[in-house]
Amino acid sequence: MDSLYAVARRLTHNNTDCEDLVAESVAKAWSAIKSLDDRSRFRPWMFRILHNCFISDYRKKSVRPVETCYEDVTGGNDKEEVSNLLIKQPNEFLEWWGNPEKEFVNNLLGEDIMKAIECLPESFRITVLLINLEGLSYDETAEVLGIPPGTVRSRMKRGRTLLQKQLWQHAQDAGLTAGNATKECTT
Amino acid sequence: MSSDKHPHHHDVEEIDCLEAIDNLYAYLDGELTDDETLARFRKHLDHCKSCYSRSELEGVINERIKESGKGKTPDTLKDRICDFLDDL
Repeated sequence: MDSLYAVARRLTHNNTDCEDLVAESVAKAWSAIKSLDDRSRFRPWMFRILHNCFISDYRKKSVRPVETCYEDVTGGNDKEEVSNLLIKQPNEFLEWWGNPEKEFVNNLLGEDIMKAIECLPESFRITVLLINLEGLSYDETAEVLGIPPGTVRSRMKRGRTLLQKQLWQHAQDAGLTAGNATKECTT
Repeated sequence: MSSDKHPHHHDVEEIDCLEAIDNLYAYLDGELTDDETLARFRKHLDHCKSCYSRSELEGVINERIKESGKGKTPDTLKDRICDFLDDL
């Protein structure tokens, strides 16, 4: 129950919707429990119900638009995908990512990271939550989201790169990055 | 190339940074299961300070997500679900 609640809270951004989503998911799971042949698959099955409820009932109520600018990348060359992804990032960010300030890393709060996760586009947010928060495997996450495992892997790379970029911005706002002054001059 | 089923990372070719970043999250998430890819990735981390730093930072983030992302279900929600089950 705590796991469902934790994921639902980050999906809905709203305590009332979150509680409604969990309650509705539990009710649907209860009525469909006989369709679950393999009880060892309960967790991905339950998260799939939660995600489907969210898509059908709650996402349309969200004030945030569903982002369409980050398309899934499937097939093709993985290195090319990473290269294309990194080309889109500022050089200052890429340099920082390879050499983050120790002070920043040591003081990085889980709360700040969770806030940054909540700002990710929905498809990346749910993927990062299921894997990094709930510990689902890539195959289980693919089962929950109804997508191929390769797309899960791709979403992790893109979602976590976007997350890093937000944390870099956070470090800049806190005056921790060396590139802070430069950025202010060039923007 | 070693025919050992579990090649030591000194026996394999090193990958570049792009391939390392491509494999980074799968590695941290325990999804990089191919022995040779794993050995090549580890060999790169041994030699590349930037990718090693990235890996360390991403590992810290993974730990913090696990520590702070969990939520405790409110009693109001637990009661609501108990009521629903009681009514069945």
